[in-house]
Amino acid sequence: MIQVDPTLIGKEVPLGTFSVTAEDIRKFAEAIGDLNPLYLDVAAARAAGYANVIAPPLFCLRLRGGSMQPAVPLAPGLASLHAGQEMEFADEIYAGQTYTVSAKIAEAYEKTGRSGPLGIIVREAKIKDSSGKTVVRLRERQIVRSPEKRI
Amino acid sequence: MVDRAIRSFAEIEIGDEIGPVTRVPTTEMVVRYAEAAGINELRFFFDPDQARQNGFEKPIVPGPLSAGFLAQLLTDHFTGWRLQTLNTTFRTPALHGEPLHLWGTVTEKSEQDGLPTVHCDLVAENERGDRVIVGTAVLSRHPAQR
Repeated sequence: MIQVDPTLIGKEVPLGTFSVTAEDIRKFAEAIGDLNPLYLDVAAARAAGYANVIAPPLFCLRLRGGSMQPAVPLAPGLASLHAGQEMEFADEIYAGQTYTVSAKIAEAYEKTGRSGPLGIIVREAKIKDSSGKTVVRLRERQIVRSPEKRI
Repeated sequence: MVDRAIRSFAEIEIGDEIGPVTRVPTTEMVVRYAEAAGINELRFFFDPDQARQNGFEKPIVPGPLSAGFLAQLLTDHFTGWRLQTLNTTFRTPALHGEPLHLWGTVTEKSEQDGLPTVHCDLVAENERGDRVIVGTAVLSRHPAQR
């Protein structure tokens, strides 16, 4: 069902370096309806012990890119679904900082679920700050299946 | 209005309930989220034809948007704390406009490396009683707030 080049398993690839602005954070916070002052108001963030406004936790997915990376091309007729994620936050994402993101395919396998055969692709990403410290670790599971079973 | 009074370690007990809170992910919110999160190219989140081609009856809500509601449930409840981990499993897709009922439970409290820490279970459930997301989280007291 899924065909992943075995040489890609475990191979970490750079996804890019990104500067985070207060405006990026504001847009994201407003889009999800989370108007926590820590995300919007630098004075509130500083009063809480932060150097600048910080990003909502799920902002890290913006940094890892729109879709799960590294990409795995799917055969025509297959559909995929984001099945879940594990996030570990060692520090906040701050406005005014630059972050470097890398990711790898940790594992890819097939199994039979209640609705038939499934492919599972597990990816891991790291977001590092400019000092090289890993601030977020992300592990995501993608399920690949035939789209015949409607949800 | 969110009560942002700092929550002390002493006042948190195992079994404490977080929420419930109801959020409605509208199509407008999904469109804004897709733009802010950079997932505009994933058309099945808002295009009915693309959704059907991917095996969905209708466009669905991105799982991370619903997971973000759970993160907000926690950060609103635990003012003065920071999220250490958030693990979520997307069990069934959420649909546009369908209310999501969110809640959590404190399952453990401890000190890790001298830092007050709480563990929580999390649930997002739709109107039909389906668990859309189940998850767990760990929060620690923000060092500046100790």
